[in-house]
Amino acid sequence: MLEDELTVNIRHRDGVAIIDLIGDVTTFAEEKINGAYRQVTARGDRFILLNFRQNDYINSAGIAILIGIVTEVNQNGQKLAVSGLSPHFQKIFRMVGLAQYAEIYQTEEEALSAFKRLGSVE
Amino acid sequence: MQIIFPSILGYEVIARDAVAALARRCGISSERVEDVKTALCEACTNAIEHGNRLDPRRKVQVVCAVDEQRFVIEVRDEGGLLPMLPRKPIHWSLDQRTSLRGMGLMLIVTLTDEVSVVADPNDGTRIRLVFYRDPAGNGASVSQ
Repeated sequence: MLEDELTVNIRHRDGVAIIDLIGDVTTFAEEKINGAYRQVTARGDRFILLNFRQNDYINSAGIAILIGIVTEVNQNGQKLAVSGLSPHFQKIFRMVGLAQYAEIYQTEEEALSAFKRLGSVE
Repeated sequence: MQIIFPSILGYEVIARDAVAALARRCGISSERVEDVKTALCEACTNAIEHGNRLDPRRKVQVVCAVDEQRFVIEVRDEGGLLPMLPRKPIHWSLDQRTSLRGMGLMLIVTLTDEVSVVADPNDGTRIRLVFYRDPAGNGASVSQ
């Protein structure tokens, strides 16, 4: 295996758990992404933003991980959005149907405003 | 242009970057180059995982050919399995698209202008990805 090139950070803003995904989202990302999701879920977070940064490579294995997250989000009654995707990967997300389950926003700020309207800030 | 690499996940990115550089020099639009990159990576990942079963001794070969109309990439493995290509989007509602491999092939079919695959137990599997070049013909002529 070549170098693992994904960094995952968790932050909180305005009642939203922001999971920054910095780098490549491939099969090697599974543990990090699922671990971050489990962490925010254990904390009781209801609004989750996957914030993509510097993602030159998202492949079908990475998309499958995200589909797994979407499934759990629905089961757990949470709300999920994504931001920061390049136009190409926005297209790919729409193509595979992910956009039906997670709203796509250009920026983190746009996503936070939308979450605020859904009640993320009490 | 020809690139040969071992069946180790991650090498597809190196092939992708080289092919993307060639595509840009052929005048393919930056938006279309992104499609080339994604389709190529999916084809290479299939070759590594399914064709060559992650055996690093087995090689994946990427061959690019460019003419006036088309940018063609062939990805060859040593496996000889024949993947079932999904049909075009109009048929998706009729298809089962649950497997990971199915999703990768679906991306390939959707992002390319033409795709074909041939498999021979003695000669491996070859998947051929075709991208039409800008009809305005703004691209520079590049010899292979």
